[in-house]
Amino acid sequence: MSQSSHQLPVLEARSLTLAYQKFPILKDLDLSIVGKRITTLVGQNGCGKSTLLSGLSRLLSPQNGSVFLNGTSIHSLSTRTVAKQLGVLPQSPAYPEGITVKSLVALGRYPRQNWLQSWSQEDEEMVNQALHTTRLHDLSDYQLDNLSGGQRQRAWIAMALAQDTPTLLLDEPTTYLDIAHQIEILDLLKELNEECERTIVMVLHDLNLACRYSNIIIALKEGAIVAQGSPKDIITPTLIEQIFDISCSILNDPETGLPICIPRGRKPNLDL
Amino acid sequence: MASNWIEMRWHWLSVSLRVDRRAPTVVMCLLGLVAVVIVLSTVWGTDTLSLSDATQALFRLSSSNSANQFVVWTLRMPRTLAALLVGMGLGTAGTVLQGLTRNPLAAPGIIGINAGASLAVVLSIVLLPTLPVGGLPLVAFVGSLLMAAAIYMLAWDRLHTSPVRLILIGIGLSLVAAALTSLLLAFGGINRVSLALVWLVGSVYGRNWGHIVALLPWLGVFIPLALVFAQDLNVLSLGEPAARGLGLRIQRSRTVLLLIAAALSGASVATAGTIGFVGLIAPHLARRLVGPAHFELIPTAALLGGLLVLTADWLSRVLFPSVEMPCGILTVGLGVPYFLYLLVRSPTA
Amino acid sequence: MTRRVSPQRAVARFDSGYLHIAGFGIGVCVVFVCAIASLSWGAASISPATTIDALLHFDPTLREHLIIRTVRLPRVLLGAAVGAALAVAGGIMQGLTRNPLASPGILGVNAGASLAVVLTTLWVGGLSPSIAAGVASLGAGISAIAVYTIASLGNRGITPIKLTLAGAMVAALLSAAVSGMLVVNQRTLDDIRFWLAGSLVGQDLQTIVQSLVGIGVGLTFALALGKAITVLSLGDDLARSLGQATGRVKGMALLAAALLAGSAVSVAGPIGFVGLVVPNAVRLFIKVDYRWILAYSALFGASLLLLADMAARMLVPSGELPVGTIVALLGAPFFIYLVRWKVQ
Repeated sequence: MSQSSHQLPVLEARSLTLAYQKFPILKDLDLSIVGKRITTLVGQNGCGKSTLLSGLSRLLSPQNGSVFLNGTSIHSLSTRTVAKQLGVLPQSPAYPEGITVKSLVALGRYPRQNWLQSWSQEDEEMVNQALHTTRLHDLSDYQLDNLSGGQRQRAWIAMALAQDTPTLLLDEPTTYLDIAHQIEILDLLKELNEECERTIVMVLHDLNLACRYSNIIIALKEGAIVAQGSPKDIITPTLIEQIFDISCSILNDPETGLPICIPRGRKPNLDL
Repeated sequence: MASNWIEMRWHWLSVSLRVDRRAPTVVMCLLGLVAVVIVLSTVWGTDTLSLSDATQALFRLSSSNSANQFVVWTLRMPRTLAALLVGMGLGTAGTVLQGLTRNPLAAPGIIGINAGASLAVVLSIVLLPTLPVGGLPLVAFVGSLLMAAAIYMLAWDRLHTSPVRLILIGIGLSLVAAALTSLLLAFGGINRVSLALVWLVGSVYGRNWGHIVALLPWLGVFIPLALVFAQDLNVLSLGEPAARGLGLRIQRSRTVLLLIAAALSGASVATAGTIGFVGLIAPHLARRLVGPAHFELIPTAALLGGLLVLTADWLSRVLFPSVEMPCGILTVGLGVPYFLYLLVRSPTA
Repeated sequence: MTRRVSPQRAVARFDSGYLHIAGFGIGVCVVFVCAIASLSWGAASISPATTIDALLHFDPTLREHLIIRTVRLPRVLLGAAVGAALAVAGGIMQGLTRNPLASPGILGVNAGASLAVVLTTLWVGGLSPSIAAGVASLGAGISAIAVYTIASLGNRGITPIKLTLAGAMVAALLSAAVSGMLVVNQRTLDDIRFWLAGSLVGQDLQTIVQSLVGIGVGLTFALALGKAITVLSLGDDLARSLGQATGRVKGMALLAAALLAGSAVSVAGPIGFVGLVVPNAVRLFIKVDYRWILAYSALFGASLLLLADMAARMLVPSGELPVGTIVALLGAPFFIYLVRWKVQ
């Protein structure tokens, strides 16, 4: 990886093997996530994207190999130290009935609080800032139950922002959202990346949005990395056919020059 | 920005905290109610003292007669305080357990406290008639902790103790103990069984200052400890992945919280028998008053639990002067209709 | 939403249909073997061959055949039916509330039946088992209706949380009333405590037939509702969008559960373990499909109660041990083993 030769990768997986119960999902995988960029994991359902994200965020402990956060093995660090470096937004998290947006966002301060300092000036400022960035300040006293899907997703992102970590890992931040809200969330992430220099790693299903918003795309198939690089370099009909088993045409967006994938159908000679 | 919080910061102490705006009012009101019922309960009983007699006895004024002082200070006051403390312990334990398991049906019963204590006590009442009644709290405490330990050890796993595993093992073991208890109740001598039943339902009859002294340290240590771990409960309520992502040491938190719940409910059950219902209902009522955050929830639930048992004990003396009606029964009778009313009225349930 | 499909799960999905049918066949055999064993075992030991003979070619002149047909068969049928009924009722309640702690008890049936029996005993003194059964089914029915009514009040109809809490509260209230009466009246306690432990003893044939009919109707009804409960257990919104009249399904499912649990409790007393544990044990293996969950619960519950009844007679041949206790003692170690094996 040419970009990373001059800087230490923020997150690095070395011969990582991840498994649920006894079935390996990812085997012997090497990966580097470069800082201050948006990296998106794409691939078919069940290819191991979410598993990889859980592994990178130490939610799933590896069977083999390890993950390094800024050069230190993530498993040797205390979980609280990691939480100051890495914000994680799992897929469809739970929340207690009746919690308000602001209370939820305030929980993002947990790794930085202790028993005596449970609500410092800084905590309050960060929470307010997160609410402003996600444009939720008018809704801060609303209960989460009463929000729309997009607002709720923004509240989760605000919680991750309040955690104030240089790196954010998000598992499908745009699920269940309409196109306008998807764009809204992704614009927000882009803004965070460009203005606050945050490193963002996410899983996305929409290939075109992934091309539009990511600096680096990592394509996975059956638990292995098939290709990684900038969207312009790697998105080709051959790759799409390889990872999704569909035939497609790739056009270039007249404005941005970024690739756009137009699916044409299932790959004709599917091995049945 | 308008806020639903009250924020407090003492920079020179490096202390800061925030509480829900509703919490101070709710807690003050509950404290006031508790005080009122304590006074009512010491003054007004099977033989009601006149207000002046009662006040004199209560404050040990020289003009009061010693019989009244005996009634107020030796008979009624310890029993009243026992009711309050037991309710507080159970309310807190229930809140911790419901937060920990994220299950609204969780109560001290699911960690086997009631089943273990019941079995131990019924066993000793039915099979060891020579055991003095004063020994029962110790028997109950040992029984409840043994049961909790057995459940925890069986649910424990090299990796982690998941709440589901804990709940299911808890169900299994508790039902075994309950079955053995009912076997003893079916075949034991009827007089002993009758005695055991009073204990099973929960009663603070005849509790003295010794019981209070034995119970207080447990509450004094473990209720504040529950408050210290309140934020952990809040984070746990987001589910395991999110909690881990926020840097919570889940296994450690769960173990400590379980220990808190076991100690509080074990001590309470040892004092007053299995008034299990308070631990189930107090957290629900408290959530409706102050919302889902545990730092506010714990004191509210504790006071509500205390108020409930206290009122139940007082009413059982006033309403059933001829029989010694265990307060556990009135606790349910008072709590259920109000709770059902709240449930039906709730827009979100 | 991505779903990780492990190879194990892919295999399970492929042949789960065959596995379920094969397992069901084995389950039926297990129940049958338990039943034959239970028929043969007793004060007078009768060989399994004679037992089968008595069932197939009944000869009223043979003493053994008479024992089998008139004494043991009703009790075995009752045991199997009660076990199946409680387990299926528990499965329905856990599906409707989406809560593993739910049991037929939170429909209020156990507490309602107990209260009715205690009240009647308080007024008339000791009851014969068949009168107790009638009174108990009345009490169970009334309390189930009360729980249903309270849970459907309010502006959102029956929700899982409301059903769960309303049921738990009504059950607590009724049990407290029972305890209150027993605490102040020792004679009633003495009259009733054996019934409260749960037992299959002493029912006359007519009562047994009545409850068998009730349980039979309830089981048919419940199994027919299996698919609807599966859909419902995925969530109200999804069920509604799949075109289900959720309110009606919930009402019918509760009716089936109340019929099953009420019939069972009225003849056997409040046995708690089966309804709570058996469906949980079954759901460790079958996660989603309530048709299978209920069917397996019925088989498992029936064999568990038959075994427990046999064990009770084996341990104390003369005096009768309450089967409710033995069920818990037998079932719990097995259940704990299952949980430790299956729940990570």
